[in-house]
Order: sequence, then C-alpha cells, then structure tokens
Amino acid sequence: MYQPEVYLNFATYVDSKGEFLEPTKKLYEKFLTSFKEHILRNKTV
Amino acid sequence: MRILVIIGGLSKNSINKKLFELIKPLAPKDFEFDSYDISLLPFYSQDIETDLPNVVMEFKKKVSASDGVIFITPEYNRSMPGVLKNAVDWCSRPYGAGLWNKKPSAVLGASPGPIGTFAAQTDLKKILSFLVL
Repeated sequence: MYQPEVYLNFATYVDSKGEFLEPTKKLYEKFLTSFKEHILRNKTV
Repeated sequence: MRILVIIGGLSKNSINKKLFELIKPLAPKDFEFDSYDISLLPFYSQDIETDLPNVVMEFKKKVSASDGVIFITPEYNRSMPGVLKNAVDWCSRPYGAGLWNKKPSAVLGASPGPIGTFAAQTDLKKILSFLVL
C-alpha cells in the first residue's frame, strides 16, 4: 500500500470557490505521481 | 493505467466526491479513472458468496481489472463508513481467492473537522495492510 500522510481538512485546503489552493494542488500532484511510481514498481517485482 | 476510485461518502454533496473531482486533473496523463457506486452492494454475507449478485460480480470485475485502487474515505465517529468496509470485505472473499492481495492502493480522505480523516484513514490502512494491499 502507498501510505503518505495526506489528511485533508476541506475548509483549510480549498478556497471559497471550492477549488484547491495552490500548495494543495502540488501536494496532490506529488501524491498521484508517487502512487503511479508505486504501481510501476509493483508491476516489475 | 486503470485506476479504480472507491468513495466512502454517498451523499449528493459529499466533499469526498468533490475531492475526487479535484484530484482528477492533477493525475498523471496515463491515469484512466473509473469508479463504482458502492451503495449498490448488498451487505456481505457468506450465504450469498457462492451465488454472487450481479452487482457484486460487476464490482469485483472492476477491482480485478484495475492497476491500482484509490480509496477516498470520510470519517464517521472516528472511523470509516460501514459501506466502505462492506466493499472491502466483498473483495476479500472467498477465503484464499480475495482480490486485494498485492493490489497497489492509496488512501485519501476529506472532512470538515480538524483531523481531516486521520482516524478513518488509520483504521482503513490497518485493514488494507492485513489484506496485503
């Protein structure tokens, strides 16, 4: 399992329009990219 | 890559459904997202394990066909929703033929509270670790 520490307090990470704040976007981009790497590592084992 | 997203929040305005919509455009270009409405699944029972309802077979096919699974969980009373645990249980059975073994997975969650699903994710990860995800 891919286990990063991402606990989202929605009110803190999302702006008044319901969109991610910029640091949050980066956090999730990194999360998803790392998850892809995790899947690829798993395929090659 | 086929990524199945399983969301534990069922309500129309679920912030966890919103979280899924927000992460979609941030994903690597080769991610192809799929999801399944787990509220369609009956409660798990060993009695119907040998004659699976169609909805369960459909869900299992999606899990089986995926390269990875992302669980998105709300937090109810310091844990995950029962409907999410039910979905996990279905694909862990029958004994010895579960679908979770070594399936790449990740856990996310959103809540309006200060701990942002920490307790729900901790409980879910404990179960997923047992199932060797």
